[in-house]
Amino acid sequence: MADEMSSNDQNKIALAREYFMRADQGRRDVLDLFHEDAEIYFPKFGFGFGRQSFFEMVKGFEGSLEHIQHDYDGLKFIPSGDYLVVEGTSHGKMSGKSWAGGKTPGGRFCNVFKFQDGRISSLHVYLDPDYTGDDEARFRWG
Amino acid sequence: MHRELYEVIVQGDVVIVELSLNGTHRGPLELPKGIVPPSGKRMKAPCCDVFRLKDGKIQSFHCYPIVTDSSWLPDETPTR
Repeated sequence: MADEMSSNDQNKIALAREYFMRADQGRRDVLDLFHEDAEIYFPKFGFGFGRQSFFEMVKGFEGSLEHIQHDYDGLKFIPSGDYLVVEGTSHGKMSGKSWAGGKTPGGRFCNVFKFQDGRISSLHVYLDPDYTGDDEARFRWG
Repeated sequence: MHRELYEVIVQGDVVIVELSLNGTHRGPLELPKGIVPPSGKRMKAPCCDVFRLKDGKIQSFHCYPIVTDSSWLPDETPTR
């Protein structure tokens, strides 16, 4: 698939990789990758409008999230037009409990990026925010 | 419950659909801990489906988030 990718697709993938790395490192300049009026969606947080809403979403994890890292080598990139969909896993630790996507129930994600003029205009994150499986008992397959 | 489709993204044999599952809790819901009686509460669960196709059929299906948003469920343990 890599041979068929246009330079535009490769640029989108490079930008997404940069997003994951800056986000994992808690860098404030992750916002530079977004348009000022970017749209953000994250489960339970809902929709945020404006790139500052990214940090509003992150605040929801303050005091509980000890660290998170996306598994860069296993990311699957699906570029299409202005969109880039990324499936992958993450690992980390929250409130003293660890998770490792692919090994524990939590930690699988799918991000839908939309790009405009070389920056992210919207980011929709789909995952189970119950990273460490505290809510499993309430579900039939938990 | 019904599905509301927002965006369909296609790349080769991969189809991604952004959607939400919308509905109203009008009937008994069976859970491992017991049955939750009808609450009349509405749910809207955004999700993303990733289909990989082969020979005109679905080869794999990934639904994100894997676990449905449960914010509309009661906190207390339901009784049978």
